[in-house]
Amino acid sequence: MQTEEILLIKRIVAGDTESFAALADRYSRSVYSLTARIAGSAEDAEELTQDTFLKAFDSLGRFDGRSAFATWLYRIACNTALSHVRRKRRPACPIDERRIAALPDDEAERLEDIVDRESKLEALGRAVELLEPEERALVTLFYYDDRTISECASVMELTEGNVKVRLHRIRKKLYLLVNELIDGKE
Amino acid sequence: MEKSDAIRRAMRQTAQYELPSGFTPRLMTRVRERKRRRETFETLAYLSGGVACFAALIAGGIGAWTKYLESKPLAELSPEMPSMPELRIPDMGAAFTEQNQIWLSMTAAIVVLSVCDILLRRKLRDSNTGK
Repeated sequence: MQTEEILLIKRIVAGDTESFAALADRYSRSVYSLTARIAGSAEDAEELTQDTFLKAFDSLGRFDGRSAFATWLYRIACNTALSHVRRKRRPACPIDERRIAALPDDEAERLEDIVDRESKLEALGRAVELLEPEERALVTLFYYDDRTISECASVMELTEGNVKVRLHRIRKKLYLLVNELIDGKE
Repeated sequence: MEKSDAIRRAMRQTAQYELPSGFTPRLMTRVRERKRRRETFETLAYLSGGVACFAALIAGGIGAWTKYLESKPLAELSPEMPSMPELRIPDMGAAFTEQNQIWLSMTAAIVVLSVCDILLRRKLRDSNTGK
């Protein structure tokens, strides 16, 4: 797959623009899903996906193959979607940072039990949508797209340790958000 | 790191984002347009660069002509032939000052071009990661 992709990229860089459609067909669904989840809007997602591919097309000559093409493309998609969200300035997540810090580590691990026991998957889904854009990007890559810690680190331009810390913090935040959403409903 | 199945299930349960049909043809239209524009820009940039170099060459030639050949005869710029047996160092004071001005302006141009090169490379490197 990698060799075939590198040959395809070389052809595009050499001037065969039409071959770019093959790359677009292969990755457009996953890039669209990622940008839609970061932006939280299907309306903006198509424009963001097109921008991502156009940026990739412009920079294809400088793709050095050190990382997989998919990782490189997802990095562009993340940066494009995050810049868009920062410009739009969505309301911030309603959870106080001090509450996240005060929550014991093992308490957050009960998130699974709460959701299973109370069938509150919908609340958890809504809690994910309330996360900050960078956190949604990480959750989408790790949980939805099933990327490894190393791939997430490469896409988000973070260290693997940093990704683990952030995912742990996100689980704590989701635990608090789910509880808040469930209490608000009852 | 263990993945939370609950988070995965919750994300898959929420609204799925479906790529609108006809995405690739729409994208390819923009890609072709982008490529056409880039080629036009590159052609114009090369052409204007070539014209600028040619104009600079002509201007330099005219400048040198008016400065050295019209105002001063060649004989004036040449060192006097020493009369034998007395050996004298030719007086090049005025010519040295003028040459220094040329060297200084060339050095300044090289510094400006180097700064532009660094800035362009930085911009290209940033655009490589989509920043």
